[in-house]
Amino acid sequence: MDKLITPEFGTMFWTFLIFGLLLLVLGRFAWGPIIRMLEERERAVKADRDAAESAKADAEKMRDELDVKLRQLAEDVKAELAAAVRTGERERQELLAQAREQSEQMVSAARQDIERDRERLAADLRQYVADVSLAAAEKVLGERVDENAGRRIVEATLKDLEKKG
Amino acid sequence: MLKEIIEHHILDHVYAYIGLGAFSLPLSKHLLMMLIVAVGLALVLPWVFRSRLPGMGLARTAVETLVLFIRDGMVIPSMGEEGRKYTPYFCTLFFFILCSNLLGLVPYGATATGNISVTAALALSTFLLINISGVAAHGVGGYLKSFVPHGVPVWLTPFLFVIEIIGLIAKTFALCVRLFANMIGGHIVLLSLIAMIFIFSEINVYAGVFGAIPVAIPMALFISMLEVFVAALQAYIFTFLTAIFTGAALHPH
Repeated sequence: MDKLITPEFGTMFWTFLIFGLLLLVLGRFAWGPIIRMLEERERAVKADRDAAESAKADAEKMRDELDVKLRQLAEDVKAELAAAVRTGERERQELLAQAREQSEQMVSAARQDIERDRERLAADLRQYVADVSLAAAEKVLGERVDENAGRRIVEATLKDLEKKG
Repeated sequence: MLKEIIEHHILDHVYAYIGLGAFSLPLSKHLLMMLIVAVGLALVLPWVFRSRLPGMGLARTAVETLVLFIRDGMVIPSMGEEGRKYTPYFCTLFFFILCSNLLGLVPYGATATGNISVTAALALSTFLLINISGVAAHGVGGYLKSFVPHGVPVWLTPFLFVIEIIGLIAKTFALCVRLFANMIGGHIVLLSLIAMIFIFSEINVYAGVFGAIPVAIPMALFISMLEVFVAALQAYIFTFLTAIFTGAALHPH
């Protein structure tokens, strides 16, 4: 059994030789190409992943920006709406006030017209009544009545009547 | 008798010697096995990688997976990124040991890694790799200095230096014996189990046929399956330990 555990030069030499040659041959024709291919594949996968990640980051940034813009837009719209409502209210109030003023003016003008017409009519009526009274009095007396005096009398009478009436 | 049978099966058979200058080199069965492994690997691996036959995808994936396992599971964890360039060495080592181990399980095959000369040569290759990579990384002076850790008292330095060198040699020796003993052990157990059939038959034919065979054959089958596992495990251990030792030489502290 000594032979079993005694290293012997010849076989060691062969082992070195075979292992060394195998190292050269496989390194050149097997491991070299395989490792190169694996590394290339890893690079490609990494590049793809990087591209995907940057695209995702871009998309997220864009989404955030859009969110901000959208929120801003909503706020703007709200503010404008509120402003429009305020303006509308103010204009309504102004229009109402204007309309009220105008109608009041119109009513007061109409009232003045009516007053003026009534006074003119009253004056005309008085004049007419005076004329008729004088004419009637001339007829009754048969002579000319002093116009000025007659008129004074009629007018005083009318004033008394108006006071009573 | 039994000793002769076991020796016949686990020792190398020298067919002839060739003289080469002062040396006479044996042409032996284990040499033939190593040649079969080496030529087989040198032919099959490039072919597997290059072939575009439909069935070869699986084999290619298997080889790639093993290479990735060696690189990402052994070389880079124990040696760091600068270990990458040593990956081909570890791939060769792993496949050479694995195929040599497995060839011993094939009928008419023999286990070259069950020969202490072969494992000694492989362990010496590791020893060379450790020292060469250490010198390549730190220079001769730096590598020798890295044997002694920082902060050691000066009077301890020579002792530690010697102890570290003994440690390095012991590691190499352990690598050599571990692989050899594991490969030879299973064979001895298998032979002993089979031999039991004949020992019992010598005592009584019926005891041998009806007593020993039903026990010895299933157990031999079990040990054979264990051997398949051990073949892969020892290839892994040898490669991994080589990576760890080389990593220790690259990063001393």
